Amino acid sequence: MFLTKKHLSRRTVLRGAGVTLALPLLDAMIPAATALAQTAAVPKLRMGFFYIPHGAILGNTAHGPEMDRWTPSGAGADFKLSPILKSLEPHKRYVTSFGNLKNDAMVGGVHSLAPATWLCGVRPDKKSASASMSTTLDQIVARHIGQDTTLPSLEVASETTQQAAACSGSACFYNTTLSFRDPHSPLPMEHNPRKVFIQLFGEGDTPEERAAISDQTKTLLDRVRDRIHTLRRDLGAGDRAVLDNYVETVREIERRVQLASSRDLSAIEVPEAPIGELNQFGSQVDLMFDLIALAYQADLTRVASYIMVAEGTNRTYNHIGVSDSFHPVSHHANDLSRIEKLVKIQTWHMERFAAFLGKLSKVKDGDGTLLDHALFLYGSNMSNSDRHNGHPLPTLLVGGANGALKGSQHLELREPTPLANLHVTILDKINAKQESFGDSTGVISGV
Amino acid sequence: MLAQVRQESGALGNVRGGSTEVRKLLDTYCVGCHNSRARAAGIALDDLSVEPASLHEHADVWEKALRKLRGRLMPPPTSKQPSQSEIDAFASWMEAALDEGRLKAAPTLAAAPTLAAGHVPIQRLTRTEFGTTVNELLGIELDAQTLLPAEIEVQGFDNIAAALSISPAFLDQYVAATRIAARMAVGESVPKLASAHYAQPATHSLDQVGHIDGLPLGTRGGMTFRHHFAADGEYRFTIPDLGIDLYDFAVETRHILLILIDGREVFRQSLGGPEDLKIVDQGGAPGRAEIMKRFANIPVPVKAGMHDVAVTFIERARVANDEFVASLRGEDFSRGDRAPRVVGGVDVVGPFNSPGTSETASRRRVFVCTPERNTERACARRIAATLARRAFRRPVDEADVDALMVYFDRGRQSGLASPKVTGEPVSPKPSGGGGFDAGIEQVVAAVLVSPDFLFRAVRTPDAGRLKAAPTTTYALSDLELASRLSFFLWSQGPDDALLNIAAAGKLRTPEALQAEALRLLRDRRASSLVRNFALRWLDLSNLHESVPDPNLFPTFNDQLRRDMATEIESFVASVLLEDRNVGDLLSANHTFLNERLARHYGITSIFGPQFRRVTLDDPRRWGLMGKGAVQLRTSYGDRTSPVLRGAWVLGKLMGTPPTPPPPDVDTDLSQTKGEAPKTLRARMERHRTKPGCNQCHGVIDPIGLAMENFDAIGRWRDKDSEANSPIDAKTVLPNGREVDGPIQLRDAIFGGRDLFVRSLTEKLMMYAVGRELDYYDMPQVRAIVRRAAARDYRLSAIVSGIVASDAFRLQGQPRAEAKASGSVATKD
Repeated sequence: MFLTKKHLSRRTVLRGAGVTLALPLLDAMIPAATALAQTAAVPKLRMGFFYIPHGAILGNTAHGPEMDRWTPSGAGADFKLSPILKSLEPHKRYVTSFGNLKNDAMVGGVHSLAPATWLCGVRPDKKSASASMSTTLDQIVARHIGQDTTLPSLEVASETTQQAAACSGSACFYNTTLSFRDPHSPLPMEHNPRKVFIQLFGEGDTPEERAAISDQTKTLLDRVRDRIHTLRRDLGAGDRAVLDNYVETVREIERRVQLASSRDLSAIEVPEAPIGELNQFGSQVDLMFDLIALAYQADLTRVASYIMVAEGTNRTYNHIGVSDSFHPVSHHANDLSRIEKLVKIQTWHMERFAAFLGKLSKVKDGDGTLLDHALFLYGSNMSNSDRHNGHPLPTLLVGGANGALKGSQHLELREPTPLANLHVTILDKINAKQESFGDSTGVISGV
Repeated sequence: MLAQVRQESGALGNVRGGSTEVRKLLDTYCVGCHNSRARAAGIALDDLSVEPASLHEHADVWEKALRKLRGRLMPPPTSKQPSQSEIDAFASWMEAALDEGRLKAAPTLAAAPTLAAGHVPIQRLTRTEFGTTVNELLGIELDAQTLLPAEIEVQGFDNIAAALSISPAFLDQYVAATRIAARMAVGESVPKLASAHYAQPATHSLDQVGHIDGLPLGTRGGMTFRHHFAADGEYRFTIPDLGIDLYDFAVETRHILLILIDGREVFRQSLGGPEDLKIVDQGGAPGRAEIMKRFANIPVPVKAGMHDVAVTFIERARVANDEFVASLRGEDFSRGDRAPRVVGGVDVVGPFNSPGTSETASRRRVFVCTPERNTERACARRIAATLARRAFRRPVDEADVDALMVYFDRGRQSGLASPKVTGEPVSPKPSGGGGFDAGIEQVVAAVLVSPDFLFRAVRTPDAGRLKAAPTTTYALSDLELASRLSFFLWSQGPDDALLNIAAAGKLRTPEALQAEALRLLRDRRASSLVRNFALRWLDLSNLHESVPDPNLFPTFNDQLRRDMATEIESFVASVLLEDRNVGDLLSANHTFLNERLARHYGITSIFGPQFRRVTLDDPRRWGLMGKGAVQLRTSYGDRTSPVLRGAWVLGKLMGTPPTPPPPDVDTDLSQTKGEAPKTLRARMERHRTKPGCNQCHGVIDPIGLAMENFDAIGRWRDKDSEANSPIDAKTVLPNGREVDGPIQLRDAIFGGRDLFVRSLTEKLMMYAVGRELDYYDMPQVRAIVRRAAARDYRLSAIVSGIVASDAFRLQGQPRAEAKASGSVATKD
C-alpha cells in the first residue's frame, strides 16, 4: 500500500480508516470569499450525469400505476414529489421530471448495453472487433464547456464497474462505462477515490515540486511522440489507428499540463488525499460526490459522470436493512416485499444525491450558488428491472442551469419519446445546438 | 506441426462414410426449428451439406452446433433428446471431418487461407503486465493496481488486445507511474520527508485478543504492513490509538507492545499495570495523553527498501474471568476492552538524518557500472542500453541510446527529477546540477514511457512499401515470438537468455521454441499463470466482491475469505506448476488448509494459522468443485444460487456456456412473503414448469442443484435450515443420467476428462494470443488436446501444443469491420 506522500509542514492529521475523510473534504475547501469563488462574472455551467442501474419502481409493474414510487406529479406550486424523490424536497424548484421517455438502444442487451447507451441512444456495432458505438453526451458537452478546465470531464464510480465476468466479446465494451470519448474510445470509470483526487489535483506538495513534475511530464510526452512516429511506420492500418489515437491523447495531456501550470491554486486549501477505496459503501458513495463537488468548486472540471453503483452489482445494502443482493432482488417478479426493498435502495441513492445537492447549494459561486449554475441528469437506462425494458425511463433534470430550466414540474410526454430527444434538448439549453443525436426525433418543449 | 496433425487426424477414423447418420441425427433432432423457413437463431441446418468435402465451408455453424450438443444445451430439454452415444458419434465424426477439412484447405503455410490464423491487433501492456515487468526490470515493488485505471475484461481476462483502450486518464496516470517507478528505483539523494498512514484492516480490529496471521507466534493483536523506506535513516513511528479510554479496563494489567521490522524487534514498551492504571484513573484525558506519548514518534533506524513492519503485543496468560469476555462475538460490548489494542493504525514518518542515497537491491540492478570522473557518460550509456534492451524486448542500437542520453543530460544538469524541497533545511545541491543519479532517473522514466515498452505489435511485412495490406497470413518474427511467449508464461517481457536466442534468429525453429517454452514454464515467474490466467478464467480472483450477509452468516469474515483465496491459489498452483494432469483440478485429493478453514470445512485435525498441504479423505472436498472459494463465488449474499453454479460449471469447466437470459424473464427465486418456507429447490422447480425458462434452466439448474449441499459460504450441510428440510441433491442431467450430490455430478460430467481439458486449452490459448478464439481455431485446439493426452494432459504438454500452433506463431488479417474502423488513420 503506497500511501500519502505529503509534505510534513502541510500535513493535516488523518487517522482511522477513512471514515473521518469522507465527511469534511468539502468543508475543508476554499473559504467562501476567496478570489476563486468570486471571479465569475458570467457564471460557469457545471454539468453532471448521475447513473443508477436497474431502473426504478414505476407504474409498469403488474401492480399498475398504484405501485409507482418514482413519478412525481403536477407543476409549479402543485409539483408533488414521489416517495423515492422525497429527499429532493428542499431543492424542488430545481427539479424537472420526465415521463414516457424510452431508449431503444439498450433493449435486448439485458444489462450489457445499459450503461454505455444511456448517453447516446445508439446501438453499438456488435460485429466490430473492438469498441464501436458513438460519442456520448457528456463528452460532447465536455467539448463545449470543458475546454477551459484542466480536466474536460471526470468519470467516476463508487465500485468496480467490471461486474459481469461472464461477458464475452463486444458486450464487454459497453457495460462498464457511461462515457465514450469517440465511437471507439470508452473511458474508464475510476472507483478509487485516491486516484480521482490525484487526477484532480495532481501530485507534488509545493509549487516548485509541481513545476518540476509538469516539466518532466512535458519532456516525457515529447519522447512518446517521437517514438510513435518511428514505430507506426511498420504497422498495419488498424494498429496505426491505435497509435494515432494515442498521439491525440498525448496532445490532450499536454493541454492539461499547460492549463494546470498556468493555474493559481494558492487560494485553495487542498485537503489530504484519500487513502483509497472505503469499505463503508455509504461513505464511498458520499466521498465520490464530495470529490465531484470539490472539482466543480475549484473549477477543475465542469463535467462529471458518476455510476453510483455498478450495473448488475451483487452488492447488499445491509446498512438500510436490505440483505439481498441488488441485482437478483431487482428481478422482483412483482413480489411486494422485493419491490419494497428496491424502493429502499432507490430512495437511499436519491438521498445521497440530495445531500450532494445540499452541499452545492451552500457553496457560493459568483452571483449565486453552485447549484444555481448546475445542470444534472439523474436516472437509469432501464425501466422495470424485472423485464430489462427501456420504457419509460426514470429521468430527472436537476439544477438551476443558469436560468435555462423552468424547474418544479413533471412533464408527462404524450407519446413514447426517445431519451435522445432530451439529450438534444440539453444541448440546446447549453447553446450547443445539434440537429439530431442518436435516435432523436426532435426537441422536448416546455422544459 | 501441420504434418503431425495430419497424421493424427488420419488416425481418427474413417470420415468418408457417416454422412447419412449425421443427416439423420440433424433431421431428427435439429431441423424442426433450424430449418430454412423457421431459421431459429438464424440457422438453417436443412440447407447445409454434410458431405465431408464441403463441411468446412460452414465450419462456423458446425462448431457452434458441436458446442451446443456437447454441453447438452441443445436440443432444449422440452424436445426429444438424442442419446449420449448418438451425440458422441456425431461429435467425433464431425470433429474429425472439420479437422481434416481445415488441413486440406491449408496444405502448406504459404497457401494457407486468410482465416487459418486470427489477427491480433497491437497490444498495450496491461496494468498487470506493466507492474510485473517494471518490478522485475528495476527490482522494486510497485503496485500498479493503485496507479493505473482498470482494464476492460473479456471473459475475465484483462489482456485481450481489442479491449485495451487508451484514455487521457490512462496516459496521465501512466506518465506518473513511470516517474514514480524511476524514483523508487534510483532512490533520492536528499530524501524527501514523507509520511504514511496504515489503517488497521477491519478484520484485525475484531481480533485484537487473538493471534493475527503473519505475526510471530506468541503475540496477540496488532497489525502488519509492508512499507517502502525511501532511504537509510531514522523513521518515526506513531501508534495513535491503543484503545485506552475513559474506562480503565485496557490498562488493568501490564502488556508489552513490540515493533518488529522484518521480524526483528526494534522497540519494546510496556503499557498498563498499577502505575498506568493510576494515571488513567486520576489523570483523566491529560493522563491518557501522557501514556500515549510513549507511543508517539518512536525513532527507529531503518535501511532503505521494502520491509515488513509489525506492531503487536506479547501474548500473556489470561485471567480467569477473561474467558467469558473472549467468547463474545466480534465488536460485541466490551470484547477486547480488557487489553490495549491497535485500533487507529500506524503512522510512519521519515527519513530523518539520512546519509543520502542508500544502497538498495534496485540500485544494484539498475546501476550496472559505477561512474568515475572520466567514464561517467560511458557508464550512463551502459545503464541506458541495458535497461532499454530488456524493456524494449529487442537489441538496441546507438541511436536508441543517443535518444535516451538526452534525458540523462537533462537530469544530470538541472536536477529536474529531484526537486530538493523539504520542510527541513536543505543542503546545497551538489555542483553540476542534479548529478549522475538524477540523470539515470530521467533515463529510467524515459525508457518506461517509451511506446517501444508500452506496446507490442506484430509488424506487417512491407507495410512501408505496400499501400494495400498483404492478403496472406505471415509468421511472427523471432523477437515478436519471444515477447508473445514470455508475456504468455510470465506476464512480462523476455529475460536475457530468451532475448539472445531471438536476437540470433533461432527462436523460430520448433525445437528452440519448445525448449524455451518449457524453460519458462519451469521458472518461478510462471506462477503468473495461476493468478493472471487460471483464477481469472475460473472467476475466482475477485473473492472480495462476494459479501455474505453478516446476519445470516455470522461466522464469515475477511480472514476466512482470505483463507479461501489462499487455498484456491495454492491448489491451482500445485496442479499447474507441478505439471500434473490438469484434470487433477477436478479431482485431486489434496488441498491446502489452515485451522480456520479446516474447521469451516468440518475438519478438526488441523491446528494453527499456517497453511499446509493436506490429503483429503473425504471426496466431497476434492477438486475445484469442493472448494469454498468456488461455492462462495457462485452464491448471492443471502443464499446459494444453483443457477450461478450450474452456469459456472457449464461455462468454465465444460466450455459450453449457456446463453445469457433473454429480456423479460424472471430469474429471482427469493422467498415470497407470507409463503410457507420452501427449499430453494422447490422454488426452482416451480419456475422450471414455465417452458420459456426450462429451455435453458432445464440444463443449468440440475447441475447447480447437485451442489446444494454446499451452502453460500461453502460449508457442507445436510439440511436447509431456512426451510427446515433435508437437502435433496438428486437430479437428472440432460443426458438422462441421475446423480446425487457433487461427487456423482463430477464423475458424471467429467468421467472422461477431455471436455474439461479442451475448455482449459481453449481459454489458455485465448490468454496466450490475446484474442478471443474463433471457429477456425477449434481444429488446432482439438489437435493440441489429442496430443496432450499421450503426455497425461500435463500443463507442459498443452503449453507445448499452444506455442506450436498456427494461432500462436502466425498473424492473420484483420476482419473487414476492423479495417473499416482503422481507415480513419490511413489518410496520410
